[in-house]
Amino acid sequence: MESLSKNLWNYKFSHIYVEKDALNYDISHDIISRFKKSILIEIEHYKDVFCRKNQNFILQKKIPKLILAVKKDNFIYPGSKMCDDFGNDNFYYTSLVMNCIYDCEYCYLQGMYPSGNIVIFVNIEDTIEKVKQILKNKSIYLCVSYDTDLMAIENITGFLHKWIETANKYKNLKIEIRTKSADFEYIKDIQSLDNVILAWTLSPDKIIKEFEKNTPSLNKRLKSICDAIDKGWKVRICFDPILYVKDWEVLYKQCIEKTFEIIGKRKVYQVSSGVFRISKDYLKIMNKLREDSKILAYPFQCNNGVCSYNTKHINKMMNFIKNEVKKYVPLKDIYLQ
Amino acid sequence: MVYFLTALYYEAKEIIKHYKMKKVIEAKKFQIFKNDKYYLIITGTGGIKAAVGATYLLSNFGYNENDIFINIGICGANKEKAHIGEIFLCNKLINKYTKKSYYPDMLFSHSFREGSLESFLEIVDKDMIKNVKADIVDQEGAFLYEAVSIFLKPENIYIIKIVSDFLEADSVTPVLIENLMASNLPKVYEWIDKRLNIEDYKNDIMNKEENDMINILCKNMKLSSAMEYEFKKLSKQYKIRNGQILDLLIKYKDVKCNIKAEGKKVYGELKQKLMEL
Ligand code: SF4
Repeated sequence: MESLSKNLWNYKFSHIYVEKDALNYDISHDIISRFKKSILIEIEHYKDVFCRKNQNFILQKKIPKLILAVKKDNFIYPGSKMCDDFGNDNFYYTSLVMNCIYDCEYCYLQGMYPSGNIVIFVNIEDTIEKVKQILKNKSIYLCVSYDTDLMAIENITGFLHKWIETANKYKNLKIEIRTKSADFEYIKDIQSLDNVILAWTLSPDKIIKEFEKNTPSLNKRLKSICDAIDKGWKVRICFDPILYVKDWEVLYKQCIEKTFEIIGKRKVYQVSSGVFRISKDYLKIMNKLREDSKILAYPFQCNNGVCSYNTKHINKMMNFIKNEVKKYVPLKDIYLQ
Repeated sequence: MVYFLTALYYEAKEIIKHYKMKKVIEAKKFQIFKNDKYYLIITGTGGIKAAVGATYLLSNFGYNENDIFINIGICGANKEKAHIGEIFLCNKLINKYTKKSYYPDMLFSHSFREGSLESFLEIVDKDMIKNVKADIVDQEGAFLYEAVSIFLKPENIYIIKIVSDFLEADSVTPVLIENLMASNLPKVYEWIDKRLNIEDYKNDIMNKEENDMINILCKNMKLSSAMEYEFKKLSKQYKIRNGQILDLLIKYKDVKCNIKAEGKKVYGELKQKLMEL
């Protein structure tokens, strides 16, 4: 009798679900060919898998499946009020990948999506086309790595290459690529552009270990940042979210010190920071999913559907961060949420 | 709890024996067997009977949303796609008539073959082979899955099929079914045992001592029900953040308030502390 595996969990991307239509795109075949051991399952619509009832988000995050789909509408969305537009007009974001290979305990995606599986919309060209139409009439500031971490999966999708190529052709398009990855090397072959900002989210190592599962260490992220700046890229550093945890002052002070010690004399484009904040509806779902989460177990205050710490704590934390960061970066380049 | 569903008695016989199940006398509409951890229902052939049987079983025997449901039985297959005695764990279930497909969540590894199952209302014979899209066919799987997924999680519903014939229903005798089940079920039992080791139970956050202390304080501080609700929530959050809460609560153990206003004041002070790290 064939012996059963001692480890009963499947492996990451053990199954790839593909919409029939998605099979008409070369990129789908490229992606499938990278996962030779995965079982391929043809589906009609990504929602048949992604939106099933009663799914276990937390378990799915451990061993996510991949879903390849074709985006039919909603190619571009107006920017969220919970995110800074950094003074840019016409703030939009795209969501070509739903969900993330990382597993941060505070991530809003767990409140937003019914599934922890990852959907890749393979028809990026349609979104780019939509963006080009808008660019005929106005400049836009576009966050392309929302609801996911595109740099962390660039080796699978190649989407950043396509976005940066578009930004190279359209100077009235400003792009933000937000990441926690240490994978700058996936785009190191590309010439840096003035209208593309690489935004790295940094956290203290203790927070990374405890609450940002699967993400690279602070040192590794900093190494990627240094490489990017050295190659001429504009890098925004985001200390966000700042979490109200035991010894937060010590942890974030050390993190900020270490960041600027390693970056040294390199020029940082901007620094942004904000405390943990989340939509009330998402928080409700997250509290059910992670009943014992230390960071979610806080008496949050809700205003206009957004929950965060109480004003006393927010002010204390933001002042602290501002005072620490301004030792290294001029105040005009510091953005606080 | 683990729930088995089979269409036929011959599919169930070996399972009943293996788990030493006893007949549930109170069950009047279907034959149901059980021991302390497993239930088994025999529904008869067909999607409607299977869906009704599953609903009857889950509704009448107090299911829990983390329970496991296993439909096990024989199936037909296209000669090119499978061999007799092959065990399939289905990853896609197609309802032949609505054309809708269902996807159990394949979180756990196994040694079976994975494939798609198409469920028909009638027996599928060789002449219908052109109409078959999936690897294997039966008369229950997809219908049953749709019903069970209303109650249970998609990672806990397993449709396991053993190939009995190449769309030649006449060749399927009770003896053949019993033999197929007897020779293949040990692999299924072994997998179920391992699967059951991964339980997703969460422990209660507050223990009895803490709950008792909270109840004493509520009484002593004469808290209203709204304040009591808030106090319990804040206490639980404090315990999660700090790993313990008794050290703080114990300081208020001997406080006895005679009027509500007095209690409100004490509670206000305690509340501030509960909101800090
Ligand atoms: S990196 Fe961002 S998107 Fe990914 S899990 Fe963490 S918070 Fe969510």
